[in-house]
Amino acid sequence: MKHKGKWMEWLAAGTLTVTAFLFFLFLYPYHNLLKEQMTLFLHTSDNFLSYLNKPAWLTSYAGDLLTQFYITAAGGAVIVSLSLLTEWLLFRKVFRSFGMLSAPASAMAAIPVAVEFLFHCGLHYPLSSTLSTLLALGSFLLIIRIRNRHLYTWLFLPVFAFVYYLAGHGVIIFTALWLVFGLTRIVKNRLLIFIPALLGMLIPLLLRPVFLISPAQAYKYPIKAPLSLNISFTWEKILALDYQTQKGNWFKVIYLAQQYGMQNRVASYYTNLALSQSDLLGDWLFLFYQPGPGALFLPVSQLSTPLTIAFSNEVFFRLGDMNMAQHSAMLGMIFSQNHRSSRLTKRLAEIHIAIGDAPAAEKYLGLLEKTLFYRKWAREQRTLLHATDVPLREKIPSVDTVRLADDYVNALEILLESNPENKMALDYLLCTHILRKDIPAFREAYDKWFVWRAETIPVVYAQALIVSLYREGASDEALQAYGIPYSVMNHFMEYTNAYGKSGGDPAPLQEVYGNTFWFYYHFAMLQQ
Amino acid sequence: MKKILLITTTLIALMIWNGCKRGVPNADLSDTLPPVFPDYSGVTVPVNITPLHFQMTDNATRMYVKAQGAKSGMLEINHLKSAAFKLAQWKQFLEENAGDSLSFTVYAKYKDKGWIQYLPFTVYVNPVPVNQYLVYRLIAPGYEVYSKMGIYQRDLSSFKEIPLLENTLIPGNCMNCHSFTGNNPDNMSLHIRGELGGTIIKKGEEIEILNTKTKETAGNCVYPYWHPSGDFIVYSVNQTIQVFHAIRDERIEVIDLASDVVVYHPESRKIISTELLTTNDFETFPSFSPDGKTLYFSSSAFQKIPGNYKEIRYNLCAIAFDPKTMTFGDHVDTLVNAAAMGKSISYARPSPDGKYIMFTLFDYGNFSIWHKEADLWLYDLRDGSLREMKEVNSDDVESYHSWSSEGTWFVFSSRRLDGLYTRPFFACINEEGEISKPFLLPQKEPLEFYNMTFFSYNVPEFVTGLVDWDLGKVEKMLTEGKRDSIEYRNK
Repeated sequence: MKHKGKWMEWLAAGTLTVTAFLFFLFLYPYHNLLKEQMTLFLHTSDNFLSYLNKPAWLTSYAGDLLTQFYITAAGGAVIVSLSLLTEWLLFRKVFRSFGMLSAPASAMAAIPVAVEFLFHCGLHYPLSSTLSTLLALGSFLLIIRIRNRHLYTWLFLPVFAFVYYLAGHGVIIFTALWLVFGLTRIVKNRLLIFIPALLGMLIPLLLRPVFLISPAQAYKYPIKAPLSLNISFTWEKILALDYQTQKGNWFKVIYLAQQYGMQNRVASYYTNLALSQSDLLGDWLFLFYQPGPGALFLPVSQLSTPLTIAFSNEVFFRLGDMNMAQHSAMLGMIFSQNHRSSRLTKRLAEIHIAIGDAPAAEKYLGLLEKTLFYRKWAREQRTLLHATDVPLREKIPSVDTVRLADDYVNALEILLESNPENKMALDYLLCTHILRKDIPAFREAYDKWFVWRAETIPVVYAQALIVSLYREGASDEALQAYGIPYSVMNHFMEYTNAYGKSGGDPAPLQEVYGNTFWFYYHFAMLQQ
Repeated sequence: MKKILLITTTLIALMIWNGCKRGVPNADLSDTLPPVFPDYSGVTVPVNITPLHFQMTDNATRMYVKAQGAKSGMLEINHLKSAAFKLAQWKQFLEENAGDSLSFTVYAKYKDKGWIQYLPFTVYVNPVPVNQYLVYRLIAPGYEVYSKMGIYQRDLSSFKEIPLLENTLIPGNCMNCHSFTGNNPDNMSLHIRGELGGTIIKKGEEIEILNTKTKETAGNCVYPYWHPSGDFIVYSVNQTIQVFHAIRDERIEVIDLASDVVVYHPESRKIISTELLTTNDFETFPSFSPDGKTLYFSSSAFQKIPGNYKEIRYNLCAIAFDPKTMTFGDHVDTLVNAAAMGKSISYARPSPDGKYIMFTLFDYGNFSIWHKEADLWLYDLRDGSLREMKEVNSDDVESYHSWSSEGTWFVFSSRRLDGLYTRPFFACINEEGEISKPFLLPQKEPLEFYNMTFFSYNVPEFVTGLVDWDLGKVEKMLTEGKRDSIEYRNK
């Protein structure tokens, strides 16, 4: 019977581990994939030494070392689920050491593991934090083997300092367990336990000037970002779009965006990028949620989040706006938790290859050659260092001027002045005006950059153009000269009638006209 | 059997030891210098410099280095990765050969070629020691970021780097523009930007944090330079914007929308200036002469921004300053009319002996760090002549620079290694004005170190000793948020 109970506990633990594995593999892979991208683990002695000047150096190093295996969804799922299982085993053993029976100890141990699981669902929770807890639990299980009460008490402070240096915040759990165990099992005199525990908890504060960290950081290391207990499928979906964007799977991005139907600026940003790369932006813009012109670019400013700064280079890079791409990639990296990112180092290498700056590109490739999984890519890229036919290079303007970071219209015009064939810049310029509802600016840009192109006018541009022409009372011939399809003209007339009848109420128009520029123009509230 | 094993092991050990001690037998001779990083061939180093570790840049699997002093001594290194000399031996080696040269012979072993002996290279040892510490900021290149950064002091006689302040202590804040009174670590000015912003003034043991914005000035005090007496600090007050270039060869400009020069008197907590330094033109990058009686600065005619950004060209100017009466001269002298040369000048730094002003010359604007054409120049205060410092300039950026207190050594920022990250280089100038070939700040494993770091060395400044301050007190003062205000007094 006893045996059966134990088997049941193990079966439950195994089932939950497999569930966690499947969860991170199939339902929630992109958070872990992002964590790998925002880490750059170099296999060098300097990299190892750089961990030594902060607390939790061992768990931080081990955590980052293992995080590089998050490069595949399976790698992340295996490591997280196994670390959770290990945590459960250690907590179970700890609770057993307090005299709990096997079944309650197993059940109790599941509680902190469940919390840890939820932490791992956050955007920034590092594996090193879990390792800190594991190390603290292991240290506790070692120290309680000492049954001599004097030794138990006197060893506490040196072990505390040691664990703090190796595992950071793990000392909080370690102290709590040591305290309870000491009170219940070792020492009768409470003061003999409380005083070292209190002194121990002062150690992070005393050591903090050595590590140059703030009081809050002293107790949180290696956690650097606020904790979250949410499973955010919204972010998971955004990260899916982000991941597929990096892979250049444009139709997958569009497909996922359609499936998700998200009303989120970052999701729109990736959707619009995928539409432009598939040459569908001018036709399908309003098939997706558009919060305003901010759906085309993510700003790089003090109000931005580190993650959106990291994402913001994707559009600049593909536009050929290399100085802005470099700016946002560099800031994205510096603002990331570890101030190093494999993804952004790759992007910086690509940018410098595109602009033909071989020495700078070599620096980034050299870094990537010190990694386990980007080594091959970096070596391949070296062949492009002195190439002259780098595709993106022709998009880069040849005539100089300067602009402010958030002056996107100016930036797009500069790109087009140098290279009128830059279709993405043209789509983004026209769509910026459309999303700003700035009809005169759209018309001016259209007449300057699009009208001479021998291609069918995309639906959204036709919808905006007809408004402009209608305003100036253009003749049918003029409409025909612009090549506006009859279907759009008829649709516009129908919309105008329907809008007149609606009395400004969007509800009756939504179904038929919800995907048109006219509906957006009349009813969309622009977000900054 | 055991005996044979013992004898064999002993023989192998003896052979290795012998190999280490007596060089490499049967090495093929090469007629080139060894491909090592950093390039120390022909450089001049101060007698108190830390060991010049260097590494092979090719696929050598082992290196043997023999360093022979012209006067006396010899050091030998047999290592896999780098020529790493022991500190105590190195120190003695340099002292014994001060005023003369060291010859380094490098042997490198290759999988396919075996041992190669390269041509020896020479390093000259200047008996004049450089100031022992270098203070710099480590920051991502070129951008005004509020993330990871710090100010550090490096012992130039060893590899020890000590943090002076890191913004992990004050998250979300930026620190910049550290400055000292004539290389004296006792007096320091340091500006913090952000939520906990303020200007830290350290005079001896005393520390105060100021709000340097006054009703009369356009912003906080920015670029500092101490008066040699320690009684004044001259600052520029700048309103800036950051703009981005469109083309691939140029990247960023930071442009002044308005800028003036003011002098702060810490004792009275008053700012003084003159209408000659607060015109509608742009005045910036001030410094004092070693006698404290002249104030140098860069000045450009006003231009519409950003349209005329390429027309902003700063001249090197001077105005008299009387520290006793706290008054300025009645006119401004233009020492170097850079605008007439189609150039712009920043960072005028007079040498401690008063002979020269070293400055950065580049095409336009004031953000020389992103100008590949930016080079160092010398203005001779004795005869008004100008010369380009070709001995230290490269095809890439040379920008910020400062003098060691004895006036022989100087440090400057350069991007010659990768075009992107700024590194400190050192060189010296002798009585005849001859300038030595510069050398890179030594590191334990220089190749890995400079390739792997994501940070630029910003504003390198020499100090004669360690900056000693109570970091706990500074942090407390910063986080408490109390800032002493200062007043403006027009003279």
